[in-house]
Amino acid sequence: MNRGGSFLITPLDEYKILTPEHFTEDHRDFREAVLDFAQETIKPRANDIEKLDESLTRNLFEQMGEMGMLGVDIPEEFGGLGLDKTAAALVVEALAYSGSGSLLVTYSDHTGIALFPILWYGNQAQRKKYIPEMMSGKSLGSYALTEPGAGSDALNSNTSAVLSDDGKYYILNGTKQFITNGSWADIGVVFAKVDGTKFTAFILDRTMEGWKRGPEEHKIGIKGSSTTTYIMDNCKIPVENVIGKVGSGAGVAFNVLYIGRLKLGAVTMGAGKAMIKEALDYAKERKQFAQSISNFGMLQSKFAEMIVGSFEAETVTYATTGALDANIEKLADGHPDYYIQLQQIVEDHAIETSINKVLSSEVLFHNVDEGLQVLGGYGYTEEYPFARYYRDERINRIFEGTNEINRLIIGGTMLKKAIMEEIPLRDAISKIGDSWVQQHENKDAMRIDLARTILLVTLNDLILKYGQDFKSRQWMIKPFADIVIAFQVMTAVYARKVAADGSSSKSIIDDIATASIDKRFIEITNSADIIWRHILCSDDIKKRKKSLNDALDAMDYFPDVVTLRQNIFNDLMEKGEYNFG
Amino acid sequence: MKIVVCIKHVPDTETKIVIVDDGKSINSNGVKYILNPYDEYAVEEALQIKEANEESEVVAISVGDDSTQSSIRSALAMGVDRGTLLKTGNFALVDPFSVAKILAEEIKLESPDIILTGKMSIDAYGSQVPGLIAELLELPVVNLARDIVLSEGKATVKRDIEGGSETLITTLPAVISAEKGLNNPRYPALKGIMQAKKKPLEIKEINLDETDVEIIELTYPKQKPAGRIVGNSADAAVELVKLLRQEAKVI
Ligand SMILES: Cc1cc2nc3c(=O)[nH]c(=O)nc-3n(C[C@H](O)[C@H](O)[C@H](O)COP(=O)(O)OP(=O)(O)OC[C@H]3O[C@@H](n4cnc5c(N)ncnc54)[C@H](O)[C@@H]3O)c2cc1C
Ligand SMILES: Cc1cc2nc3c(=O)[nH]c(=O)nc-3n(C[C@H](O)[C@H](O)[C@H](O)COP(=O)(O)OP(=O)(O)OC[C@H]3O[C@@H](n4cnc5c(N)ncnc54)[C@H](O)[C@@H]3O)c2cc1C
Repeated sequence: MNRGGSFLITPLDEYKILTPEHFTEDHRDFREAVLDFAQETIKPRANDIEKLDESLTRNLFEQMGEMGMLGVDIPEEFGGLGLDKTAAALVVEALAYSGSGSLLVTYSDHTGIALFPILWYGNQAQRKKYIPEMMSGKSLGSYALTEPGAGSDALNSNTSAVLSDDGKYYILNGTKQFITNGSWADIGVVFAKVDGTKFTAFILDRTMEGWKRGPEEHKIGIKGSSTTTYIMDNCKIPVENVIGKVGSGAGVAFNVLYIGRLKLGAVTMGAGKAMIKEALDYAKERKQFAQSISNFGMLQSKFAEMIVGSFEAETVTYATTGALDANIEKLADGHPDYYIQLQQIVEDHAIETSINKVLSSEVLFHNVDEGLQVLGGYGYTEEYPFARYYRDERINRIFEGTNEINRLIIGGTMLKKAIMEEIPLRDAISKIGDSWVQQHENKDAMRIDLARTILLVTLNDLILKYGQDFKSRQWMIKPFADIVIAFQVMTAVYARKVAADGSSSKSIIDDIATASIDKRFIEITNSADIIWRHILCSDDIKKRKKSLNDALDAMDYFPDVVTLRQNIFNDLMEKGEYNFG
Repeated sequence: MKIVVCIKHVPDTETKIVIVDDGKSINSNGVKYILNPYDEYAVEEALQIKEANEESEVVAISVGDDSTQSSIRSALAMGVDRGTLLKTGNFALVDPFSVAKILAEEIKLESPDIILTGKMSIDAYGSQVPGLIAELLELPVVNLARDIVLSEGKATVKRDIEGGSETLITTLPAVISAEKGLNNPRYPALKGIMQAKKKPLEIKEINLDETDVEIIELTYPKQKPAGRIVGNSADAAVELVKLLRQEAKVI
């Protein structure tokens, strides 16, 4: 089995990933069909959705239900399509081309964290009762974990659940904060502590008394998605609506977030790609200084940067879905523990799903910001949709685990996998000597091997310095997590470049790969430097720097990143939009 | 009830068309092809008829080349039951009469209760095929349908005419061509896309006789001339009106 985190130690030439160049015909056809729907049906209504128009959103959900978009990776027995994570990611990234951040949030919540607790941990009766109506779009779901005093620290819940005297109900009291789909939801997964200690998940539905919703939050963006509190006011939930066992709520709450992050990563990746065309269309038409502003190098470099970022996000997204699918495929259908095993596969890829979320949400942030800049003053007005994109983008770095919490997960999980020997990091570390030079016929590959050495050496330094306590040293976790993210990007981008042999986009993919690997390599050396200077004595710092500089000298590699980016921009001008694979 | 829909594989309107050196055909490399949008109305109507009449079958037929299969699959993904590709050697050179002859032969074999087509294809703008098929099959034809109601072996068809609309009744079988607004074509469901690959798509090789019509030349539309600023003062308005009347001849 291809374990999560294996990109860290798999020799580069053996590291294979799923790439868009190798999508199946079904995958491509799905993408086309969903893109049509997103652009023809959702996009023209994006401003109406912003008015928090419930009936419009529900109408679109029913249409999406009819087309099968609400249950791509849900088994057919519950009304889904029974397809893989790759297909689900493709559908949601194509939906993101609608440019409606609001609808995408409603969608991701409904098809992700609201649904998976019931699918993975619910019993058959609960699945049969609730999932089909969610698949059709007739019922909207929600997931209520956060509380006023329990945000990132989600287990610090004050919501109580007490068994009724007749033993038929749990009576819930407490307040849930910032619940997506809050005023619209027909169904909710809600968490509370039984007897003050046993954190437990329950299914709420419209029929239950005592489930009240507070007023709408006034948000910066995604104004067309509903966000309210839930007030559990002696809310009576039948005992048969407990998900899993009493006291097993933490696993339910956190494990579905891996899926949530995977989906949010795909949404933000798609949205980031869509920004490029919108900004480019404007740039082509806008004339200043008697020419199209797309002639100006500073704007061209922005576009090249957007392409590189989106290429990285896309590559990493499908590397992850491909790895998950390859593992999930091997599970025996109908096995009583099927969903437990499936969940374990996803959890094992915690590093990857957090990387997807952080990387794609930050690429979207960058693309929206630079895209708006391309529009100049017009980008700042409501005449153009960039103002809305700018507002809508912001939430992605906050929910489904803030990007800080996700960096903690990346660092913490790495540490755990190293210490538990889940991936033989120790072994890899022990093989590194004073010389960091490794030969490879491809210089990008040499750089990646060098980056791996830096990563492993730095991890070793951190473990020697702090031991298990590393996980609470956030000043160090941040740069270390950035190294891991950059390294996953490099390896995946390189694997994609190799897999693109024979594709018509081969030569431009080579350029993008070199530009990406170059940029990420510089990031890694910067982050490592920050760590070394904080935890090593000056002799050791000098030793590290000497090893690094000797390796760089031996490599003798100075790719001209300006020419690479010019090529990337010219390719974009020819195609008119982000389009690879 | 059996419904035959005639469909065509056409370049997407957003595609950039490049005429090849012979000046008589377009370079299909890099051109995105789609199911002709007017034919989508015909397909949707056929599916609605099928849904309203038990034990109905919808067959899509198309004259084209191998690439045409993708448009037939699009129709299958929408819900059409099976497809037939009437494959010719050089699709680009087939004239409307030859297309109609090939289609009519095939329709005869199917003997459907109703034949639906789009009102025209968005590439050639011929609008000839529905009428020609009807003539060859000796069937009635109604063009530009905006509404179709079937009952007791007859079709009541509403169509727009100058300043209003008219309603006709025709016996069946008949050839009816679809106008925009006849219905709202459905998006293919994702499941439909998967199933479409498993639905029967028969390919029949067609040997074309000499065609009667030959394309002499294809040209690009005239480039719009650059705009001209007549002046900034009030006098310019007078000048502008004069030019619009005498030179541009638009008022
Ligand atoms: C529009 C919107 C929709 C939402 N939808 C839902 C939903 O449907 N269901 C749901 O349950 N929740 C939802 N949330 C809640 C969301 O998940 C939380 O806002 C998020 O988890 C952060 O919690 P908080 O807002 O309390 O911030 P806090 O936890 O107070 O965080 C404040 C800051 O401190 C940082 N921080 C906190 N702890 C740590 C730490 N240990 N280490 C380093 N930094 C830390 C955070 O990164 C952040 O920068 C939604 C929120 C919004 C705004
Ligand atoms: C809220 C607001 C208040 C304003 N207030 C005032 C005011 O009080 N008075 C006033 O006169 N103006 C004002 N402006 C106008 C403002 O100064 C212009 O928006 C700004 O100069 C940019 O011009 P533009 O919007 O036409 O963008 P453009 O000039 O079209 O620029 C679009 C993009 O192209 C880039 N670009 C343009 N030319 C080049 C080049 N040669 N090389 C490289 N890149 C280039 C720009 O950097 C930008 O990224 C205001 C604008 C806003 C939004």
